[in-house]
This record gives sequence, C-alpha cells and structure tokens, in this order.
Amino acid sequence: MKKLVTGLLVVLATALTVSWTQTSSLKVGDSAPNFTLKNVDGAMVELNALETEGAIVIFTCNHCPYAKAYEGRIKKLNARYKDTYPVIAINPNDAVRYPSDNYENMKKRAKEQGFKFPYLHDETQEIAKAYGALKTPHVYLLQKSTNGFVVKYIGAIDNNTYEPSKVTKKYLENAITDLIAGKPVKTKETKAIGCSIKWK
Amino acid sequence: MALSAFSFTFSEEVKVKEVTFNELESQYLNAQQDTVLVVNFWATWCAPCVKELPSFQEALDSLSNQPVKFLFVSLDFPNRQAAVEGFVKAKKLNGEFVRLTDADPNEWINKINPDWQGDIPATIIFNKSSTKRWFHSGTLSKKEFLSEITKLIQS
Repeated sequence: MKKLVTGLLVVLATALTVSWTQTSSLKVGDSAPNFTLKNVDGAMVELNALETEGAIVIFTCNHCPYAKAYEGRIKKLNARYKDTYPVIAINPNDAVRYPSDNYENMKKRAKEQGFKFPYLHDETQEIAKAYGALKTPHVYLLQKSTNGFVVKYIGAIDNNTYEPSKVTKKYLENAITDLIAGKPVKTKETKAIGCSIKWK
Repeated sequence: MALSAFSFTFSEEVKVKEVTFNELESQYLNAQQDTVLVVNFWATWCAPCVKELPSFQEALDSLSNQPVKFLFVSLDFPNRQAAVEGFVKAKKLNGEFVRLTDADPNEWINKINPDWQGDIPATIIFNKSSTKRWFHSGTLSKKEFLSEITKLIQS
C-alpha cells in the first residue's frame, strides 16, 4: 500500500511537473534560465558564459515561413549589436516529425544564410519550455545583471513580417535602444503570428 | 444583414475575401448571430493547421442542420492570396474563408484573446450570449471542439 501511494505520488508529481513546464512562461523581469546547447559548428554555447551587456535570444527554425522572413533582419540586428546584445538563435522543433528542422539541416541553413551568430539545437525542447516559447520566431531580450541574465522584452521583432520596407515599429530594436541608453524598456511585450513550436 | 455576411455559394471560382481586422470584428465577430460561431485561424504553410482542417469539415457536414457557422481566417502573406483560393478549391473546403490583411498582429491578437501568443492554429468558439469566447491555441481534437459547440447550441 505504501509503495502504491509512493508510486501514485511520483506519478502525480510528474504530471504536475509536466503541466507546469508546458504552461510556464517567462515574464519581463524574471531571470533568464541558463542553457548550454550545441551550435551548428559543433561547439557548446552557454548563455551565462557571455560577457556582453545582454543577448537577443530568438527561438526560430529552418522551415517556418515567418522565421525565414526574418532571417535577413536577424543578421542585421546581430551585425549592429554583436558587441552589446548579440543574437543567439535556438531551434526547438521536433526533428523527427519535421526533418527539415534537424541538426544537419540547421548546419546547411546557417551556411547558406551566412549566420554569424550561434544557431543552437534545443534537442530536448527543455529550453523552449523553460522560456515558455510557443512559436517561431519568438524573441527574448536579456540584460546582464549581477545575478545572471534578466528578461527585459518578449515578443516580436517588428510590426511587419511580410514587408520589411513597411515596418513602422521596430519593437525589438527600440527595446535595445532603451536598454543601451540606461532607460526602462517602454514597450515590454508584443505579439506576432508565428509557427507553433513542433513539440515531441 | 448579419445572415448575408455568412451566405456562401459554392462556385467554380473560389473567392477568399480579404478583410482588415476591423472588418473581421464588425462583419463577423461582433455581428449579432443566432448561431454558434467557430473561428479558426490558419495558414496554408502551417502543417498542423492543414492537418486539423478535415475534422472541422466533418463537423461542418454533421452539423449542417444545426445553428453553427464556421469561419476560417487565413493568415497567409499577401502574395499567397491566389494560393489560398487554389487550396480551398482543390480541397473542396466548405464554410466561409477570409484572409486577414492587417500587417501588425500586435494590434489585434489580444482582441481575440489575451492568452493567445500568436501561435497557430488557434480557434475561438462563441455565440452572442457568450460572455467570454472559448479559446484554444494548438491542434484541437474533434471531440474537444464538438463538446464546446454542443454546449453552446444547448445553452
């Protein structure tokens, strides 16, 4: 009986943990979970090892048209902010059901597109869950504090996915500009349409 | 007036109306309906969306005598208008299809539901007496949305 109860508790605890990780989502002001993930060059990249003022963490992938539409803009952002807020791209999609998002294809995509920033594979999807990412692209702007990184902005890159020339609000860049100027971020959260993350 | 907004005649040429979010609200979401309205946000490039469309189509057929309307809102890019129409025609899809033209979802996602992060598919189900629209993002099973529709038909 005791065994059964213990067993049930374990099952219950597991169920609770799973539902918690599925629904947890980081809020602006929360500390950013650390991660160590494999880059397309084979090296492991750790968030907390970064020595910059902050980082732009972007959950993205190879196949999603919304993610692809932003690749050019993500490259420009990294070129502009690589010494202060470099881009760290993370692909969390299930590579089994979506082979176009597997590690080999990530390497190919990064090479074709000339990514000059890490493009990491979140194979277990734990990092996407820890951040509460739901779609690609999904942006988390982080700033370094004495206790690791803190989330300062969550959401969209700008207000026109389809036509970069018609962007009138650069949500992410405005947030970075605020941080660099030592001001609080004015628009802390925005929303955009994206491809749902393909969970295992 | 409200009814005419929903009339859908199947013809050789499938037209998917392009609507702004304001039009979507005034002509569909806020139009006083005596029916249950099921609104599904999808796109031709979204694999899970395309996968769940047949179950909506089956429900649409089985509920054809019931006061239920289905509206499928495409979030495809502007250059995909013809592709959306071709898709609807090729798959012989029933129900009404529109394509939303607003470029900045940050302006309207919260008006659909504040819990929605912008991932698709997403679905809302409600009728005019609903104080809160039922909302789900991610793939839906037929059982899940049928139970919600049935509840509202009976209410």
